[in-house]
Amino acid sequence: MKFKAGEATIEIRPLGEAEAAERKVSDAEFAANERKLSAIRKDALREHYEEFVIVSDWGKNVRYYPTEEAFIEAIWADDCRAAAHAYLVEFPKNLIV
Amino acid sequence: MSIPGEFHTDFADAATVLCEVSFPGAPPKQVRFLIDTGADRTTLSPSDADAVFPGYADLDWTRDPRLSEVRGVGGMCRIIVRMGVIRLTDDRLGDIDWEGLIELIEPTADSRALPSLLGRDILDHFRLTVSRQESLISLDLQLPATRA
Repeated sequence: MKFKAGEATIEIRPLGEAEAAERKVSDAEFAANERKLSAIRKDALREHYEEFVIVSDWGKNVRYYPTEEAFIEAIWADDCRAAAHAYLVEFPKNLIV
Repeated sequence: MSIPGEFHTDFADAATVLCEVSFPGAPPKQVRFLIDTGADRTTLSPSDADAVFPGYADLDWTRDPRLSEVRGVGGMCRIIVRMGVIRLTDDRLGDIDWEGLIELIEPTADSRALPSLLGRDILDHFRLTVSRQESLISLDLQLPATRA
């Protein structure tokens, strides 16, 4: 079923049982990784409050940068972009916990 | 059933929902959105845009024909819009694919901590329930024939 939704369109595609189960597993895995990253990040920020932190590879890699310039450079460096969705960055000064 | 959301610690315990986002030429990726009834349009943060939109790093933030400036609670920022698909999964209905213009935020020192926002262009088609007391967030699609 497809219908107009303002300037956009909405399409509904029923899922088979197997596909629905697969989707649930995938979402649960994503949420578990999110929780893991969140915990690592909070620990990192507590211990390194004046520094800049990048957590990547779902928490396997935690890096600290002493200046904002180094932090920005690292965020947009090719190796960091390659981490794509798995990386998570924070700016401690702006962090709301 | 409906699409479940979650009060999320990374978003200061605000209401969020997990979706799949895709653009032409790239595989879909999961993105957690802040449910924002104050946002006109759905927006991808710089880090999420970089993860899901192919060529995000090469966008021209001075001359792109679909470039504009928007004002939000956090001030002004530049955005570029592109057609994309946001998929929400409903336990009963299946996949719900919303296809429309998605805003990509310019990466700057001020914007990099912004969350991705699920705005009214999508939310207006759902019945949104948020109850902190019940720890409940749900989105129910309102089909055209059933709308009031």
